[in-house]
Amino acid sequence: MQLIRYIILALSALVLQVADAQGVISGVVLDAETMEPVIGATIADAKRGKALTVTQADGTFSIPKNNEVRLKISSIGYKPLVTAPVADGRYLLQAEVSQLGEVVVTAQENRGLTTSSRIEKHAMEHLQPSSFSDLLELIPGGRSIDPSLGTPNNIHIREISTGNSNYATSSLGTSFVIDGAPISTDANMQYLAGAWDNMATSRDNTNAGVDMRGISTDDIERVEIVRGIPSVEYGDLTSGLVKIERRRGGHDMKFRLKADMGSKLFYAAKDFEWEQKRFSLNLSADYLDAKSDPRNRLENYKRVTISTRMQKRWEKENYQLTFSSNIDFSMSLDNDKEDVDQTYSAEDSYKSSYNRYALMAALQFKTKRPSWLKSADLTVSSSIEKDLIERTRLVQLSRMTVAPLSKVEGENDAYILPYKYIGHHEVDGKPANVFIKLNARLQIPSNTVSNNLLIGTDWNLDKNLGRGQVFDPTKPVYTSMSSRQRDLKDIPANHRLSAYAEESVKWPTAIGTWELTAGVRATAMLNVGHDYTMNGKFYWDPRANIGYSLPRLSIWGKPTFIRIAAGIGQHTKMPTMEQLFPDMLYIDFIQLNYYHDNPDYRRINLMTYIANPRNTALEPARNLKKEVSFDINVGGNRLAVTAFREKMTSGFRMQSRYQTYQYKQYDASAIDAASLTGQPDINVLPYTVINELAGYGNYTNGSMTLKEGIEYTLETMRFPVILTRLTINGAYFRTAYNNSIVDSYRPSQVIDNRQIQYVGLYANDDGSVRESFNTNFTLDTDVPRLKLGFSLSAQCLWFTTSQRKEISNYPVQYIAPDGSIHDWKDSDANDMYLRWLVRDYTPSQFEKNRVPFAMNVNMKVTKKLFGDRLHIAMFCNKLWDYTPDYDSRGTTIRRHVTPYFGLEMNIKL
Amino acid sequence: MKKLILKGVIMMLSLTVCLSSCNGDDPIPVIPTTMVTLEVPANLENTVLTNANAKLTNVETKQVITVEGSKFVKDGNGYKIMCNDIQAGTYNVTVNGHLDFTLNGVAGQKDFEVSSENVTLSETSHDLKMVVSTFTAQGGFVISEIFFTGTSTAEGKSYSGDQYIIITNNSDVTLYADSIAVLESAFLTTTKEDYTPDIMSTHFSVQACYMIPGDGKSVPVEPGESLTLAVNAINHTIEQPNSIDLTDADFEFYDETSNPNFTDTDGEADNLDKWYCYTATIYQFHSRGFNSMAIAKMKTSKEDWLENYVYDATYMFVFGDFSKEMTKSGIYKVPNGWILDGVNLSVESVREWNVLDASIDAGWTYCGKVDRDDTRFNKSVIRKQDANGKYIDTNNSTNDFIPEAPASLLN
Repeated sequence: MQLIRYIILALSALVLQVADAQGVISGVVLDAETMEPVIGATIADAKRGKALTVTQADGTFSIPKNNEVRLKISSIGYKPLVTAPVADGRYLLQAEVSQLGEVVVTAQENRGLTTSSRIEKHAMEHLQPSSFSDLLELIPGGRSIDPSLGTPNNIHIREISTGNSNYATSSLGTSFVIDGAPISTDANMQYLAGAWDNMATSRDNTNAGVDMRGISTDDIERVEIVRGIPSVEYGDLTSGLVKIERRRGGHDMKFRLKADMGSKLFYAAKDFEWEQKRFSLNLSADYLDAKSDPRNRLENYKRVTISTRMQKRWEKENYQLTFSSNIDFSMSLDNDKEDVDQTYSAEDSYKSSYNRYALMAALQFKTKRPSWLKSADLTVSSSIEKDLIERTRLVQLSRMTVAPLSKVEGENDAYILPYKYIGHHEVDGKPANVFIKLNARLQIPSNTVSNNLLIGTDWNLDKNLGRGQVFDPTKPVYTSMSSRQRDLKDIPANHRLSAYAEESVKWPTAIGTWELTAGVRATAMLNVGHDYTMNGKFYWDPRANIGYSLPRLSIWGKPTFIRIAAGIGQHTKMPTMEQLFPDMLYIDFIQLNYYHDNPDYRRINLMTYIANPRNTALEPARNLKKEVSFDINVGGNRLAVTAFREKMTSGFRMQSRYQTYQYKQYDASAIDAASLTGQPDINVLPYTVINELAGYGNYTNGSMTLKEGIEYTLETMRFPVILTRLTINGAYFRTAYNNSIVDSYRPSQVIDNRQIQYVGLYANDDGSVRESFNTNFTLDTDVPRLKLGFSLSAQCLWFTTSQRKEISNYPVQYIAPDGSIHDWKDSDANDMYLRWLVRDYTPSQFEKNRVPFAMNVNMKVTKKLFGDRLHIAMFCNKLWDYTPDYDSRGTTIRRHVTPYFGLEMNIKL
Repeated sequence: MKKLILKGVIMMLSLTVCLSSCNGDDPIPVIPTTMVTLEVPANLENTVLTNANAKLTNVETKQVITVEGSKFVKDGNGYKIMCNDIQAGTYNVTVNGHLDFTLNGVAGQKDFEVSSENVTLSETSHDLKMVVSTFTAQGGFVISEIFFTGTSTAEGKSYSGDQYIIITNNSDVTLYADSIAVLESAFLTTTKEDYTPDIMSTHFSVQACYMIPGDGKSVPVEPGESLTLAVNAINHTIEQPNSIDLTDADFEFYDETSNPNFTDTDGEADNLDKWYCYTATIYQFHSRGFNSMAIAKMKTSKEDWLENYVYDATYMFVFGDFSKEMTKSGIYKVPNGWILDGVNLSVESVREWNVLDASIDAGWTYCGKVDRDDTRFNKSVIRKQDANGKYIDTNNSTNDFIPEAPASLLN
């Protein structure tokens, strides 16, 4: 009889869950400490031990109404709760190992399926960062490095970067999402065309992703750095995802003042919250002033950020509606000037400013009733930047120099530059971005598995409304320039449309809990021409993470949880605007170069060709990630180990192409300088037609990056008495870079009055393998009675290695001046001209270089005073170091380490 | 015509001598064979004597014996003539003529006249030795000045287009400058590497070779005269008032190119023949003086040199935390024996070694004592001169040069 009753009840539960809520009891299961929903908790009949249902992604459950039943709510990691059901009850589960009141000053491994590091506010307060870059010390493989705020900071997740711009796809393919709105850098065109000076080139951040200097950390509540396979909700990335959530609500007024060896930072914020109205408003501003060298006032970096964030929530009986909106302004300014007193001249300066205005609005709908649709989100974000590079330089030429002006192909006279002028070159960029994302979370009713189906779509638009390279072509700062001005407005907008669906399932069974997240994302570029390979093509990113948790075990009498997880996922990053639509290249050849004492009689005649470096075969960069992870927690001491392999074979790179061009070489020797009455007439001059090879670069998918490694984090409980917690984290990384496309090279030597006329073609050129293995041992002590926090971090770099890929000194083919391609013969190595195509690499250059052990010890102290109103912190990195000398092929290498320290004061009113 | 008359006169005179020797009661002895040896400076090679005359004047009889040039016979490095049946007595002897030769491989020429007075010729002392001592043929072409720093503009910026090098004929004979090349070292005096093979004792490794063109005797340089080889032979003061008018330079380092990024200016002066240069950009001297410079007589053809005088070196490169064996391939070389003069240039604060063999230059000279010293502009290194105005060349530029001297062509 009872049995039949339960069967009926169970059946009706299935039906009623969607149909009618009258005969059911709903509830939500929350973590007692964090108040976060507990997903996949089993709701069972306490008496009979029979499972009734599981909690869903939002922690909710529904069971048929039965006043007699007592519920046993259990979930791995929590103490089971036995209680009587109440209508709309909130059931709080106590974690088996309480983290209550724990102050975590390190990054923590995410407990979900995705491999990621979570960095909370406490960790940031303890770390005392100036910009987002400093936080990366905390992720596995990270190590504290001195802030370098004079040049852009790019992120390199799971790799040992070479700094080579041909392998920048990793940083370009790491997406930064702030409060749900991604930062787009795809329309960044801030480069000085033709620049060769360090002042300008070292600050070029095009096609390299987000400059982390510009992200202030003070408003950040929490950061999640996804190193593994992110949800398909996030796209246009290859390598990683940085999710930043900023603070909302509160009543504080805060000030922060920080100074370290290179920078000063000031931050002020005011938080408002009206609990009854469910409305919050946060206002904040910060100012950073950094100098690469504190003695040099002429070179600095400044940042200003102003942020306004509001949120309003409406609680209705059946649903909850949340509206959030942010208005942000951030300004970055790089300044570099030559000392007027030292150079006599006032005119040598570089200034690059980024002014970004961003608006974000998000509407979230959450149902409170049992239904298939659990929530829906609409996020709209837009940003407009006003970016300006200004370069001014007094140019004094030592030779008759030309400014090619012609914008059409053919013969033309070049403008001969004056020997002295003030050149001014601006790069005016106004990248605009609009991003709209619509998400819905659905749940298929089930009593055995907790599931959640995410479906959504997003659309992204990037356009640059700027004027681009702006300069007077008769007064160029950089005289060797192959591009002419073009309005960035003329470049078509990049449209990107994506749609995605992902199912997450958590299935608690007697033999353990299974978790699966699997989804697919499709992305297409909408606005590329028909001649592009990408036109009309969808790129599919299937991604899946699967996990299995053993049932609760006991080791040394301590509750033990073990999980094994694996994941595989495809990731796609679309090319940037500059990669899709690079500037046209103007290739000029001198036909006549005639100098006369009388400036009016001088003449330089050119033949101009226009090359289109657009590569219509360019496709997105795609990265396939695979990983396996193991996570064991013994009484709150947790070890997480992840092994990964990421292979990206289609990274973006600049490749040279050579082509034959023809021009006339006029013989000026017959001109009688004394009898001239004007410019020499080229029509009467004898000439010879010359074939010449000229090269230009275009973007290809030729860069391969293969990342492999093991990341590990061990977090212990805080030892009583000494109040100290030990965190050991680190990683072994192996990164292989490789060019998969033929490379070309033309020697610069001049033999018998002419530059060598051959171009060598080298197969599968350039590449390297780098390894590093590090471990950071962090001991952090928290003494609540003294309000004192103290940490010592011994950062050990066991070794780093680098090895160049062995490449042949010999070309496989070569191009002759007439454009014909010939196979390389061994005998060519003795030819007077072709011998120069043989390159200089020696076997020792392909040997592995190994840098042995090095350790730095960093110390950080925080102290709260005056009832937590004043918070003083200081850090000293590399306070002590062990970097022994070592021998490298008979040479003793000595290493030097300089400490870096800073101090800060936080006031909370 | 003149020769004919001369021959006639000589025949008449000889006849007179013969006739006069036949009569008289106190016969003056006649020397059957007199050998006059002409000794030329020992360092001359491949001498060719033309327009030579020997004149023997009998002091007592005023009788003159003239021997024409065709009778001079080459004997080793010198010449000799045989005179037959000369009357014994006291003579004044004069030999003049024109010598063509090579001096250290450089073609040269010189007119000479040597004389000896009151030479007694007798049956026992019948040979006569004349030494060409009017010139010593010592020295040869030297680098007398290198202006590698360039000038500075009113705004204090560097202007490098007016660099030049002056080579001077420091001998007392006319020398031809054709096929003399200006060489720039492939190695820097500020970066010492242990190159293997180390050829410095036999060859100079170069990265630029610009040769004075000509057919062998196109560019004569009188003793003490100079040639100015300018990077750009134009009047620089038109565009840069602080600079130099180099319109009158003899030769120019012109780099012909079709690349508008590297336009060189072609002045009026003849262009040097660019045999080899390490870069397709504009050639100019290292404006801080990190390369050594030399001049050499190129003793082979351009084709042969380009084909055969090239080698590869390896060395250990150490930088920061890494050291690697490197190859520097395609280094051109010039035998030290071809080098006429060389000067090591460097900067005290960064100098590491000399890149010319000590037999060519055992010292070094400079403009600027620290790297990137802006006070170096407008200054040159100039060879010291002795009391007679001759340039001092002891193959040690530390002693031979005045460092940081005001550029001689700069007004």
